[in-house]
Amino acid sequence: MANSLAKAKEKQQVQITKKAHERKAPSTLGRLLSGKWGLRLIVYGALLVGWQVTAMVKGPFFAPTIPETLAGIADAWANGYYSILFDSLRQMIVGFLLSLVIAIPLGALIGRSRVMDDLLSPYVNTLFVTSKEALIPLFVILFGIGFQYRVAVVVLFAFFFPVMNTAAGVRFVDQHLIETARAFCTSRWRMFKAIYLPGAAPFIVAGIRLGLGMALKGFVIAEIWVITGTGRLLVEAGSLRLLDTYFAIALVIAAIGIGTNEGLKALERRLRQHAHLGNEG
Amino acid sequence: MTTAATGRLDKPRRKHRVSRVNPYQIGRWVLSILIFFMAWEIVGRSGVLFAIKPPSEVLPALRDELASGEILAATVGTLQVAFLAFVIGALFGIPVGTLSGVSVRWASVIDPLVGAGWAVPIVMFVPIISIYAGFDLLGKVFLTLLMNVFVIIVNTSTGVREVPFELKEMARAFGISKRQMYRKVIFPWAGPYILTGLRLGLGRSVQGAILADLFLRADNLGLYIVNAASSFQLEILLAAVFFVTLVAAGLMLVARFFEWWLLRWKVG
Repeated sequence: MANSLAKAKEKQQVQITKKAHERKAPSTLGRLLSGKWGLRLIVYGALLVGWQVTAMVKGPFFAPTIPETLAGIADAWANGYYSILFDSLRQMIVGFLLSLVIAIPLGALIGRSRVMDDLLSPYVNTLFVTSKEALIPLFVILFGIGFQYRVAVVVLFAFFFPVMNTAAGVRFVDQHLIETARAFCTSRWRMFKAIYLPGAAPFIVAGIRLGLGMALKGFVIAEIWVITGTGRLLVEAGSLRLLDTYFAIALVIAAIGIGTNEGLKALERRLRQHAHLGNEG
Repeated sequence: MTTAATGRLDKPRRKHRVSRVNPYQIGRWVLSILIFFMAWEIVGRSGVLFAIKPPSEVLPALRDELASGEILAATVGTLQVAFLAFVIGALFGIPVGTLSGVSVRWASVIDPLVGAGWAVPIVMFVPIISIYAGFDLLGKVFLTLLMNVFVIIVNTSTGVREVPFELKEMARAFGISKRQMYRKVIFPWAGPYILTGLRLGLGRSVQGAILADLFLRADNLGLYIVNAASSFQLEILLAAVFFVTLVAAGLMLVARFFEWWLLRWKVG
């Protein structure tokens, strides 16, 4: 045990010195390549080179080269494609906020009450794992292909993570804390503000993060299915083989997805620390 | 499951069961199902949402469709794509996840890619999947693979990373070979995580296969649903959606049972 700890410490020490060394002398190629950025450089570099070479060999009808894709991102601006994307995203945000308004109170209810948990959880769990995509043709019949339809699909997709996470977060709140607060006749509002919210906040933010990812998926699915808005851009660029446009828009959507995901992850970490301190202090 | 998944054995636990249900819970489930069907019937009859037919029309339609065998054939076709992609996803995802779990350097390469794969809407790739892999089986399996592989990789790498340092050190002290390290230490420890990943991956495979049957060449369940919708046979459309949901939920239940059955040795 002591030996293993010593070894772990030694390993850590080696890593620390390695890192320090990297920062000081990045000129030695071998040392750089042995770090984590070295392998990243090799693998990601190989992927990019593979893409570029494939595109150059097969031509723009098969895949755009990297410079063509970057130019496509600028061209998409000139062609006003981003205003279409922006419009789609605005509708997505409406749907997403609507889903949060329903999902977070519902999740809190499921987390607080056993009866509601038993009554509602089977549906939440079942719909969560089964295919929401099969409902899309039905939604077209119900809501048409306009604003309502897109919002409805986004709600259908984004709904489940916030419900489940809020329920888990509320369940996670320390029971002793609740009992102590009750013993001191804490008001409902203060209980909510000082105990439930900080305790469940990291979970809720995780739910919002995952829900937002699903909302993005929902809007893309909804729009590709009826071929409107950004979905139409993607489908037409694909079928006309304007692949530089396609790749440009796809990259922008991917960047939005990854960016919001990472941003909310950072917020979640901060809230988790905060909740932790709150529990201890 | 979660108790086994955390692997904490410091507290004595009750014998592991699939789930401990009390009669109240079963009563509430029954009540919940009754409320659901009643609400559906009321909404269906009231005609507020014209497309929602009441279960008293949908369930007979489902019975007729089952009798004719059409919906079953369509389901089997979709599930074949799902299983094919699931097997490929498992064969690819578990080794990649293990690599990411064992090596910090590979994790730094693999994790960002997997994270990106999580955050990006997969359906977005439908237009180019149809270019590179076609509208048929290859394209469908590829789309489904993109749906299921990331969850398998993430769960595997998490499980492998959670193997306690002391355990590996101990095994090494006893002169364990590299192969045995995997067979006797790493995989048994990471097993619950991997199985959970496989279960979630199976669910996503079914989703992906339905997605592929809708968005690539309409076929099997996708074609069935599209036909019912475009010919406005609403009770058949609802019957199909209801059936798909039941089949997927049943499949997940079987997977959960199988998971429990494989891990029953773990907590005694």
